[in-house]
Amino acid sequence: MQKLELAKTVDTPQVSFDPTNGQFHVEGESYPENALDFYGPVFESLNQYIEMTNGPITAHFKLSYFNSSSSKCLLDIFDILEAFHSVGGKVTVNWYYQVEDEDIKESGEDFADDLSLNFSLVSFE
Amino acid sequence: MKFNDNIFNSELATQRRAEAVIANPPDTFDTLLKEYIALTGQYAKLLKQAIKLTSVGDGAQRKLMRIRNDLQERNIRIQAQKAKLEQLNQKLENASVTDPLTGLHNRRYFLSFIEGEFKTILTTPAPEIDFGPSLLFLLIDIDHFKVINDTWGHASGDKVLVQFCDLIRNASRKIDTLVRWGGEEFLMVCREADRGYGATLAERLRQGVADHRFDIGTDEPITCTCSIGFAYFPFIASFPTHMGWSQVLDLADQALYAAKNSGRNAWVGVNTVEPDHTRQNPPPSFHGLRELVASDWVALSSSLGDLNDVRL
Repeated sequence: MQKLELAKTVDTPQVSFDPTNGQFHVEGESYPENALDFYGPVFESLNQYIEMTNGPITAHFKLSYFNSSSSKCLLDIFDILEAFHSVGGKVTVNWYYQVEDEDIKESGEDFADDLSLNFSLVSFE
Repeated sequence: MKFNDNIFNSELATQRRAEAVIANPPDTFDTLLKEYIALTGQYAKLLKQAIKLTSVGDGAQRKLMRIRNDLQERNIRIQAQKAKLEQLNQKLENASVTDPLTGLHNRRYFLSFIEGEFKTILTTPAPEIDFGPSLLFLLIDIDHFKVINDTWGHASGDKVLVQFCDLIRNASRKIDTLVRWGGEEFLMVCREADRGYGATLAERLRQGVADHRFDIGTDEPITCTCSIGFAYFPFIASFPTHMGWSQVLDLADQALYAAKNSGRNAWVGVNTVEPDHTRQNPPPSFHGLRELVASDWVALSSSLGDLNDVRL
């Protein structure tokens, strides 16, 4: 299985997923013209991984802005992680927010709500 | 998993399945219940997502509003700073074109101002007055100013200069431009000056200065006199580009020199004579006032009653 690497653009975040250690990163701003075009390969990569192994996934989200379509795609990513967790996969989520950015912090809390994942809110300067 | 162009593909699939069940209901209640339970599960998941999406979307909007407000506040601050800077710039600009002792304009101001005036006059069509739009260049020099400085000191000389400027100011109109041209030499540039204005103004100034008692802190106030020379631009109204403003100013300077030369406390003006408007050709180029006066284009005027007393 190949490593996923999407470089940051003006309207999409940098995304990477390394199947050798399960490290998953999303960082930047997200308001792509077509959310499914952008996040489709991400879903595919994660799904492929959880079908193949039961190794751990550590997901890092460091987003400063995302639109509604991207939010929907993030929810779907959390669904995939939740499904993996429910069959015994080890999942850790770190949601990063800049100190004083209450809105990004609260959106992390919104996403975490009702999930049974190990979900941490991490502030940075 | 196949991706089309819709992030709600799986939800749409659920809806299509439910519609298929309705169109073609299963035979047994158990099968129907299973479908119903699956549909309810999907519904619950979708509702949960809708709730999260709404909340997250509101958060994103709040963030954008906050950024917008921050920008607006910053913009207001920047505008205020900009206004302050512009004010400061204006002050600096004023200071750079003002003589600090007298508050009159300096040469730098004159040079930036005169080109614009020059163009205005050359492009303004002549109104119904005799010689069209014109500028009067009038140079005033305090007589024997060095003696005042040498006798009473520079501080007293400065007092004379300041009071002298007040006299000039009081004699001027709002549309006139007053310039400290050199140490004790001043230039008045008068707009909308008809051809009699120079003599009137020069005499008023000469008389006003001669009558003034200058208070320099001594027991008795002192007196002093001034000499004045003037000329008009355009020099020849029917050939306005014949002489530039600097040549006309030079004529005014030569006239001032003539006034000095003729005994001081006097004024000399250079006027063009245009006996008729039928001259087809401009005059030849003149070098100096003496040559000009010898031609039939010029008539001097002076506070010295007899023009023969004017020593060029």
